[in-house]
Formats: sequence, C-alpha cells, structure tokens
Amino acid sequence: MKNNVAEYRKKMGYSQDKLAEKLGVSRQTIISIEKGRYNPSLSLAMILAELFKMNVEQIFILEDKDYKHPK
Amino acid sequence: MAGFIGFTAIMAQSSPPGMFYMMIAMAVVTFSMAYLYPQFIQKDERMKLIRQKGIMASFVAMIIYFIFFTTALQFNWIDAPAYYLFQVFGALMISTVFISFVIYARLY
Repeated sequence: MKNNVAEYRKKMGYSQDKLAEKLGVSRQTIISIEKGRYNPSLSLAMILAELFKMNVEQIFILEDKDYKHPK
Repeated sequence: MAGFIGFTAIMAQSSPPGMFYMMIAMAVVTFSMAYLYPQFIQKDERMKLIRQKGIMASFVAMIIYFIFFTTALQFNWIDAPAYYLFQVFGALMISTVFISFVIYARLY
C-alpha cells in the first residue's frame, strides 16, 4: 500500500515528532508508516485523515499487489 | 562472567557448565532490552504488532527446538544429562523471545 503521509505532513507543516505527538504514537511508527513498512490500523488511518482534513483514500492508496484476488 | 566460564571450559577441553548458557541468555536479554526499551516504553500499535509477531515467531521456534531435542534424545544424537539440556533449552527459549522482538523492531 502506498501512502502520501510524508507529503501531507510537510504541507501541514508538522515534523515527524509533532505528528507522532498529535496521534499519540511513537516517532518510529510515523517513520515506518511513511516508508511503507507498516500499515496503520483503520482507526489510526481515520484519525490521520481527520487531522489532514482529507479522506483516507487520498492518503492511503491500494496497489495491485494488495488485492488477494486479481481484479 | 559468561566469557570467563566459556574460556575456562575451552582451556579445560570440556563442555561449559549448564549455567553458562543461562548467563549467555541473560546477556542477550540485557542487550535486547537496552535496544528495545525506548521503543517499548511507548505503548502504541506498532509495538503491539512487534510483540504479537515476536511471540508468534518464538512460539514456532520453541516447537522446533522441542521437536529437535526430543528427536535428538530419542535417537541418542546427544548424550547429556537432563539438567544440562534443561539449561540449554531454557537459554534458547529466553534468547529467542528477545531476539525475535529485536528483529521485528528492525523490520517495522
């Protein structure tokens, strides 16, 4: 799954530390999400979308390999 | 301490005493906790995932150790007293849990 967290975070003017503090998670969690190593839970993704004033789909984008069955 | 015991065992050309393995395991725990503590102190969902995956991986590893030790004893591949095997098995279990936490903390 691709994501635009880093891009939107920079647009909002947040540092990784600040975003981590706002979401109540660690900075490592933000780094992992931005690098695509870790997918956040649905609730964290929705809170993130709310913070960025966007929809979840605008921040997290599904890729072909994410589908269990080929479309 | 563990290094000293290991060294003396090598010098005496014998296998190290059982407590040597437990000391190595304690050293692994200490170093792992030093690495993990700043991350584990934050109880966020990434740490929950690391714990969950680490425990699952160690469970699988323990089953493998158990099968190996049982088979090895059954077919007399290893000739060691039960006390010695318990120490090795215990040390392996302790090390595996913490090493798997460190590996998953590096991955995620």
